[in-house]
Amino acid sequence: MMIKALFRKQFAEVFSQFSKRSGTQNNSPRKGLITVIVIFGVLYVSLGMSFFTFSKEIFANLTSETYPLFYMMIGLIATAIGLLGSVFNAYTTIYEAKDNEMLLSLPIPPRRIVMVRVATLLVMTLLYSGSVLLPSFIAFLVYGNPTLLGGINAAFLFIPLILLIEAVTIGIAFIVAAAARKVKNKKAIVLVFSMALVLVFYLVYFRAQSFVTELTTIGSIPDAARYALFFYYSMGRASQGSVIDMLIVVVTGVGAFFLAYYLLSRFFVKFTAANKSLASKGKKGVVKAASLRFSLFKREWKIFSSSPAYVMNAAFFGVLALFVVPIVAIVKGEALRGALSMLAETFPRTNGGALAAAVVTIIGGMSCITAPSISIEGKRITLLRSLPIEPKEIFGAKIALHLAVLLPGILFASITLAAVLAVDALSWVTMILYPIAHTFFTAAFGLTMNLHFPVLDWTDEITAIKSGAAVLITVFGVMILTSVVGVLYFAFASFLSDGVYLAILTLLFTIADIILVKWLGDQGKRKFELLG
Amino acid sequence: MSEIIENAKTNEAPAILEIYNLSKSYGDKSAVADLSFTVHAGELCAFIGHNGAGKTTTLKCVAGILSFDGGHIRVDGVSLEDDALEVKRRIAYIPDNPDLYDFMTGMQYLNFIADVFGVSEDLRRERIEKYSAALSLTEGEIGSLISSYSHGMKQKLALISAFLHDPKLILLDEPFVGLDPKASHVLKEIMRDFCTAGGAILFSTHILEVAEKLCDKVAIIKGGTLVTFGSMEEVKGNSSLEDVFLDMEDDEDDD
Repeated sequence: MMIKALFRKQFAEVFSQFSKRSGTQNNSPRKGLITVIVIFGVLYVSLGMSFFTFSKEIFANLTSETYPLFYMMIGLIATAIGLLGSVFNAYTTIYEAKDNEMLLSLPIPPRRIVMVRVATLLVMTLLYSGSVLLPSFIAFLVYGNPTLLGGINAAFLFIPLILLIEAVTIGIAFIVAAAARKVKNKKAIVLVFSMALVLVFYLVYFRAQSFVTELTTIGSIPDAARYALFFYYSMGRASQGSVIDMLIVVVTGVGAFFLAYYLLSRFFVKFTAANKSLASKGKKGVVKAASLRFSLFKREWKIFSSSPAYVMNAAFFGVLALFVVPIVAIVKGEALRGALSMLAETFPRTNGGALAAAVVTIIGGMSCITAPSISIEGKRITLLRSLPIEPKEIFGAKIALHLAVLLPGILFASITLAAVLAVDALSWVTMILYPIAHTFFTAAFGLTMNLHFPVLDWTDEITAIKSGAAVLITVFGVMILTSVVGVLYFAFASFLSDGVYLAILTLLFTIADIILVKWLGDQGKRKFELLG
Repeated sequence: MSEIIENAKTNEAPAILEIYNLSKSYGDKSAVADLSFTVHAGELCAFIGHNGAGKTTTLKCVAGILSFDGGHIRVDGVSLEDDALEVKRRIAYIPDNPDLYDFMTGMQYLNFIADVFGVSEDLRRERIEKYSAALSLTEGEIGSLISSYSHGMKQKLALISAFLHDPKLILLDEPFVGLDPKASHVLKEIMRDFCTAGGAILFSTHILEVAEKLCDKVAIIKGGTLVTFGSMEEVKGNSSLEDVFLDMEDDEDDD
């Protein structure tokens, strides 16, 4: 009964975020569920098709000796995507939920509270990893010619894999919480630790991924790989029908999960209580005046930088990629120019500028700081609304923050790629202007969506940052639009130069920017005035 | 009701808060219906009613946070419907459970509020020092993150922020909740001084003794409707405010 009530509360909060529209009293849970299903349906179909094709290509290169490599590779990809779904959120979901103290004051064993928090993370992991595991499993049945036992094993492999991913996720949250216990500025330490742990994990992951890819060309699996990636190797062997390997996978996945869950439950009260600190040790504050605009911008920066979950989910990877991709382009400059000359055989007018701009804008569009920026205000929105501030000033500060965080990377990437590709003057200019117009569009569109779908009554800030309809629509909407615009280039490439194509895009996105700004100043203002 | 408005109009001090026929509903449920009263400069007015009577809704309407369905609100002669921003410049609103910015230090928060109202550095320094000393909020505490504050400290910080821009009208929702006895005592003095200097305060409270001793006027609301309004002497006569309030509750229940 108790655990049922806890689960009901937790998932009601998650799903209610999808059914809320500003200015309406009618929030239908069914509509919310439909929104979730549609968004994930689109994601599943698009990702599913690409992973199905990818799986087919792997099987074309496998021998009976290297057969386990299929599930080794799929397991690693599912791990990476599954971690994306939960790793940035684990600490906040578990330790920083606003109702932790209230729940702890009730006669509920802490392990039950932890169980419910972990269940939320598990669902997110399942949804993300499932987009790889489901199409891969279908491809495995179609092209892998599995034995009956191999097919049955493969059908259930997702369970221990998801549990292992979750063990890593909550393990990271546990380490971060343990490290943050006696530190004054917990938010900073959480942010630094999260970044460091995730970077280390992904460095190891990408090394393993390229290692496994190389193995497909060798024709055998060396012992080193079997031991280093034993869990994933056992997944592969289990898909061949090995019962012992299936047992190894189950014991490892389930064991790791319960160990992490035990540690989490054991220290939950201690670490949660340690989140609080006394106020008397602060330094004397400084009285300092600033303009309204700068003050609002500082406020936005504080909201953003003080939330590790916000930084990690809304910006970290996008900004990092904007600096990494151009460096890779410099290192691999020769290969890039070689690929370009091959492309030029079909499209003689191309100089690679449009494709480079497409890459920059797709990466930039993955980050949207404004999409949760209204929701993250939470109930504090009433404080803001009681002050004599024009909504357009608040909107301006939110968009300015997005630009301040994203534009340095956007400009660095655009200028570096333009230099590496040695494009003409028009392409140089438009390779810079188009991403700027696009970045502004992402910011204004995200804010518009959040005004349509605000989430203010959250108890866990992750629901505002990640689960709201505004974030999903913005990120996937911008990604699809930007990809379509990038692919459309090939329809015009035979008679338009890259510079002209990008100039047209710059113009179109600038018009869209103006329309969105006008909407925000008019309809957006009215929606804002109904919030709270 | 028109009598009340007429009386208010004949009061010599200028009207700071004028509420005429205010109505506000949430869906089908009426929260406030046809509410009218006026608070003049120098007046400290208590706003009393049981839970869910419509006090917070009224305060939020005056603060410009909630839109209302009918009626008019004027603050210091400025119509809220015509110029909400100008009204907000003339008021300060402190909710019952101030949800301040946890990610700021107390000083950063005060600087932010002062920036919004365009308060000069000298003035804000002077007022911060004055009110933080009065409310016993130390420099170290003001320099700490708000996330580490107790409820009472948040309340004190919110109160300091309310006085930073020298508003004409202060709206306080349950201002004494969470304050220690000394801070409560100081706050009463500050409120009194503020009104003596020509400001006006409308505050909701369940502590009837405080309202009775402190206030010039009292408005009692029930079910979203104003039950009585007037000077403290007029309303309570020879009995206590508590007796008057409880009698009204009983009368309504009998009806």
